[in-house]
Amino acid sequence: MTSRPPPRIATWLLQRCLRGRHAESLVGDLLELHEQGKSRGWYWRQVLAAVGTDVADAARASGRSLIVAVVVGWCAILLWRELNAVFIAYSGDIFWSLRRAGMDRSDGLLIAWGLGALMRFVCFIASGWLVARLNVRHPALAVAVFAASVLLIPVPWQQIRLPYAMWPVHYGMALAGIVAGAWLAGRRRRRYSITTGS
Amino acid sequence: MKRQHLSQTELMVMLAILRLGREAYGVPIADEIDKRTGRELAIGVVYSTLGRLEEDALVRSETGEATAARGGRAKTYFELTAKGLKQVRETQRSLQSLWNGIPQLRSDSA
Repeated sequence: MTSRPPPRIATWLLQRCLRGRHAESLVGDLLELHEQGKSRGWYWRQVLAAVGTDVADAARASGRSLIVAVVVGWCAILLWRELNAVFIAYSGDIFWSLRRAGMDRSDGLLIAWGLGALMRFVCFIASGWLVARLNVRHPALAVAVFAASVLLIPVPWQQIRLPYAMWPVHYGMALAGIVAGAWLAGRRRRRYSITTGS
Repeated sequence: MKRQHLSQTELMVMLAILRLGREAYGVPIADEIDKRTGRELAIGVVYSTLGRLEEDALVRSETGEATAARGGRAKTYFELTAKGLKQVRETQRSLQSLWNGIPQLRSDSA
């Protein structure tokens, strides 16, 4: 027998990530075995295996709805990209209007770019919201897969190529927008379930 | 929908539950499989398998006692349902029929 505490981060990860109906019993079993003398390394391996198995189960259970959610999220991005192209066509006019109004060249460019960035951010929020709403059983998994796909597949957002220095900003904005959209979807669902008691 | 077959892990978990009787929860199930087959299953895999079997009504669960060693968390005991027992018997029968009559696998031919 031992009175060593189990790794706190591993236990926290387990409690945060597991969703199955026997998640509490699983945590109890691991604590019991750790108490009987299993090592911290063993505990970590068990936690990672449990979380990995849970994610795989969720992916298997989601099946088609996971694919549908990710595809719809991408359709939203591509649709918004077309609308963005229309905006870019007009952004030159905006820029020259600002210049005529006496604004500095760099300020005008910054405003035009900022408006475009804001539009993209709204797009990411909308797509994250859609993905989370479409996969009701495992929204976190669907959003994670969708966000990973957006980070891995570059979207040609503008006719002009983004400077490399701007890529971290662009990706950070994408990730923040998708997570914010998913959070909004979850917030609405929670409110709905409180109202209906379902 | 009727389940067509059990996977090897599912069958091992169900047999371990039958062997353990009233004491079948995550830790002893994993221990029993390790002791009998030498296969070390992660506790998470055991619970994932039990979750699938429970969804298909092949096993049922019952909440047991909580102890300080488990951080105050209750044990969940498992037992096979009648449907689960029938499924294990069917699997045994079909494996046995494949097993029988193979000359290379006769004990006296080793």
